[in-house]
Amino acid sequence: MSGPPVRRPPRAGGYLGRDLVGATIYVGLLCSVALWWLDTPARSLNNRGELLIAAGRITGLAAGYLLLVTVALRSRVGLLERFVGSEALGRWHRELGGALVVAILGHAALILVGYAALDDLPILNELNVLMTEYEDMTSAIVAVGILVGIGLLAIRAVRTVMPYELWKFLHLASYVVLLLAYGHQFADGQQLFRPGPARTYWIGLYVAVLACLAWGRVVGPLIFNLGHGFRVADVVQEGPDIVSIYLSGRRLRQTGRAGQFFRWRFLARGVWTQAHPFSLSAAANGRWLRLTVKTVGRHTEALRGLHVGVRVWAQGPMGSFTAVRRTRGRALLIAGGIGIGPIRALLEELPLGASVIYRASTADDVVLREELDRLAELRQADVWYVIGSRYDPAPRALLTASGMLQIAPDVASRDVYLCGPHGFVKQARAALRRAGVPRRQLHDTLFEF
Amino acid sequence: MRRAFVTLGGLVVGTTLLVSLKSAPGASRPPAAYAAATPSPTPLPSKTLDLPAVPTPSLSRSGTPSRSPSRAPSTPPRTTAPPPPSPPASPAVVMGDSAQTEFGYVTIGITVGGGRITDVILNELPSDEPRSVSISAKAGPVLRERALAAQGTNFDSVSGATWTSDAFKVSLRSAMTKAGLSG
Repeated sequence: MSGPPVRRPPRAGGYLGRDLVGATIYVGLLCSVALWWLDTPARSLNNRGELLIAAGRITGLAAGYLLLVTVALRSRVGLLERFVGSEALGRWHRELGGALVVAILGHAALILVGYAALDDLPILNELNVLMTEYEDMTSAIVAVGILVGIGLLAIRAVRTVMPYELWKFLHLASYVVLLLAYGHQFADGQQLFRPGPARTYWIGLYVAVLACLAWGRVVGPLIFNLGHGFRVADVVQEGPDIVSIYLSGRRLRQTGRAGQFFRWRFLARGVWTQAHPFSLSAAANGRWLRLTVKTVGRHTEALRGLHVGVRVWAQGPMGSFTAVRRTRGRALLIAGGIGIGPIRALLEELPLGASVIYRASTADDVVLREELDRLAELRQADVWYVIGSRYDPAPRALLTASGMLQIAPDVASRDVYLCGPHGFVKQARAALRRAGVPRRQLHDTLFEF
Repeated sequence: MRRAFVTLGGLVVGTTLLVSLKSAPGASRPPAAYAAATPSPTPLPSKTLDLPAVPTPSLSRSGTPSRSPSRAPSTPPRTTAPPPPSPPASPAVVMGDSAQTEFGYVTIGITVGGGRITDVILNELPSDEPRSVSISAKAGPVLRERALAAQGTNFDSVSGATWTSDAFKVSLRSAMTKAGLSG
């Protein structure tokens, strides 16, 4: 028998890494609040002012900690990307970011009202006292303003009307918040202004987060790209509006797991200013890397015209949409449209005997069909092509519990990997949940194509 | 969305719980009323709670020079006197009693020569909070200058540091009394 040897799947890790990181975040929060707890004698809060100030200190410590965590979650450190995954990191970042805005507002309000009660001053006079008699308070108040602004912009309805680049640019202001807020924490923080274990712990948090940022954003990518030296090797038309970009480079086996993605920046005129996330559409094979891209926007349209030899800067690999995440022996892979790229790659690394569902609008939109069929034979997998408009009977039947059970009667005891347009993934998830698939066996990657 | 509410609820409930675990019984009284109620070792009848606030540096104790500052702004005042300070080195420093403020104790020492105050030593100033540290740093030297110039406690308080100034005078007065000066 000729052909490539059958790959052994990587060891299954399930959600252990993610749960560990999640638990660490909670423990860190407890430690941060414990700074207040250990520093405050029992029954020492004697009046309204002191109670409010104590609550202000707790929310302040929580907010200071959450600020660091939200930044760290976005540091793109490989370990976090692999353990938690970009999708969950994004979700945690959003949720903790929301809590952060609330905690900051609570902290500022409680401290202000508390000290006003203690000093027996009107609120505005107390605000003046806080700003003039405490160090770094003006910048701290500016930081609150910026943070609340970012929080408002992050509301989905507001964010979606902004161009993505503008949103990203405005979000960079979070680093300014980090800079403006830290001064008042160390100068005025009741638990932090004196040297001691609490202050050391807090400095340690800052150092750890800065190290994550430096590694994830600067040093790691530099080493990765200088080591691999990616260049465009070929651009192949796959379908009416789909192209595959082949990349050459060094040590191509060490480029992450099948199903992961990179942010790609092609260093050619007209496209170098933007980096876009694309998955690899084949597992690492040592000869080339391939991204399969739908050319819909102005940027992706320009990618058709890439010349051979153009240098490529990649940030990654990112995401936990990999065979490591599996919790069961068999898998069902569901691709919607261009989502076939990472699904095709995953098929190479998942255990034998998987099933693949490939949903496309027309027969012309089906790409990589030959190699998919060849790979399915090699991996003892069955491939189901579901073609037609979303209103046709077959595609509609697919997105129901009975449709899923018809294709894979044992679906409830399989891992299901989903990749495709947002609406499709959402509908498929709902159908699979009704078919009895536990949440932790559903793996999806939500980046937009 | 549901998670957002859980997080928010956790924040509110957690903070409230923590604060209430550390609070003294009946702690929601306004601060002024509490100040009136605390100095007495026995509980006052409830109607005296409506009295105006007693000036804060109303309590004094003997100071131990190297005592670490109290952390809680208004721990119930200590009524037992710690051992007196060890005999001062020459020129004889006479240490006054410590006077309490909301944010820590003030302990002032003086050196005396020829019936005059020759130096004022800032042994201890309020330092419980970052703000009191910075207030003390600004007001301390000014108070020292004014006390030396006035040769007593008859000088203006430093604005923005009224409590510290009052406590300064209480401690200074006791030091002068111990040294046999009147001023």
